[in-house]
Amino acid sequence: MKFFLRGASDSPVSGSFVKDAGVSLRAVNLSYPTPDGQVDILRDVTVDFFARSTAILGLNGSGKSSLLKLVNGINTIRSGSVQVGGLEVQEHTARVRSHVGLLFSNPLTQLIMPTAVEDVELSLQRTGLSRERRRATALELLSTRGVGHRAEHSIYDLSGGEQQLVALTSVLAVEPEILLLDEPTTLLDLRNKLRLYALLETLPQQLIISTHDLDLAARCERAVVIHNGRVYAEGASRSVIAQYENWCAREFPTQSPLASDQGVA
Amino acid sequence: MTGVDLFGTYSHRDTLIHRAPLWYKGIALILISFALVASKSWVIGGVALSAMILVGLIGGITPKQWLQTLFGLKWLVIILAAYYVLFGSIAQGADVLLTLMSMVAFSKVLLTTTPLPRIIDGFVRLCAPLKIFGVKPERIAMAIAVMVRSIPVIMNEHTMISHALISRGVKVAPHRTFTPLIISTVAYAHETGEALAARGLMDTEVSPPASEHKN
Ligand SMILES: Nc1ncnc2c1ncn2[C@@H]1O[C@H](COP(=O)(O)OP(=O)(O)OP(=O)(O)O)[C@@H](O)[C@H]1O
Ligand SMILES: [Mg+2]
Repeated sequence: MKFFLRGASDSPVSGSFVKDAGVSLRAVNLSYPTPDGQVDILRDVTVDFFARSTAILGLNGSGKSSLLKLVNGINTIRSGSVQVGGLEVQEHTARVRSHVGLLFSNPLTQLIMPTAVEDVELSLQRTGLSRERRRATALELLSTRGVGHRAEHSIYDLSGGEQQLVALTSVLAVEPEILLLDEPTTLLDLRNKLRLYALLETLPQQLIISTHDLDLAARCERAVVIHNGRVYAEGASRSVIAQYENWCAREFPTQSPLASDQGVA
Repeated sequence: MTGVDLFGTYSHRDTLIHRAPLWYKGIALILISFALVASKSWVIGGVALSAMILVGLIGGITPKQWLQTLFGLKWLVIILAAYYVLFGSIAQGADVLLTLMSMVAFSKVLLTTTPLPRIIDGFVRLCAPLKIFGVKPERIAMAIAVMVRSIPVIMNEHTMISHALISRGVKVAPHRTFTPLIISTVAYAHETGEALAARGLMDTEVSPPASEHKN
């Protein structure tokens, strides 16, 4: 894996996506409305994602998925700033989304059309290709991912792993620069998991992966720990994972060890 | 019983009905709808339903699948039939029921013999004149795709809720499944919205400017 994506790039012209600018969150506060008022989900989160691959670790409900949904503007922050490719996500949501793909943890919520090939075609709609070209491209992409033989099948007839691969094909069809993955290995058997690891290594995209799978996290260059909506650790994946395991086995400190720091992941 | 059994899903075959151009099917839809809505006689509904079943058989829908579809409508039929019998308008009831069943049958034939993207494309063309009123046909098309897609999800959700009840030894009854079904349907709608947004399918800016597009 290439170590860093960052290269000296042109100063960001206002309004255009800079491929290597990565993702940066500054003093982000996110809350969800509930019947009892606003609930804080992320508190004063400052972190940068510049590595080729970063794992986001944290207990259930710690805010990992919420953080991923900030990066493509599905969640709206209360205060702070989220920049992707040098663009402020809140201002340039559509543009940012055309460069950012998100793989949901449940592929069935992501697949919209009834069959695999139709779903990939749907993604290709905004490429402006003719219908015949779209179909041919979709079939080709499914074959590349090893699910070509399932192209015409109903998405319900596919196994969880196959659904995952189809969803991934749909997301990658439009060649995003950044790929967000929300627990991509939960539905996979060991063999498919190993295949996914191998596949992720070959992708040209910058990867940000929310996961409970520490083997996957170990394959990432960097890792971030989120706890109680705050960044508790970030750095090279090995040491962050060791720290996280330690906290899980004992106890998380009440205050983030990075309380006043700013992180670069 | 799933939505797929009820409304059908595309099956890849080569039958007369599969090969029929989409606009034949469109005209048939318009004619049948008008005939059904305009007529007050159950005979028209009966004829339409029989014709649809016949066309479906030619299009590769098996008699067993048809039985499943009709069986899937049993609650609707029972409730409506009870209503009309109670209010003594049996002929009107038969008309309403046969009309509904014909439309379900029509959608089943259409969805089984035509790939959804083709139906949507056809619909987009049909709606093209609406552009002058600022209506975006693509958005309508997307809405239809999502609606068609949601039916089996909600049906499957219903099955899962029923199984959850059974596994706790509770009898399945509409008043028990109703609330969980509403909650899961709302959650599904919410997630679908997010999925569409994440895939850039809700954005007005449909394609990124060419100068900016990828390496
Ligand atoms: N739409 C929502 N409305 C209200 N609260 C929400 C919503 N989505 C998530 N939450 C809450 O936000 C918190 C963080 O959720 P999130 O899904 O980001 O956690 P996570 O780290 O991804 O957890 P997991 O590991 O279980 O996937 C949780 O307490 C959750 O209950
Ligand atoms: Mg999550």
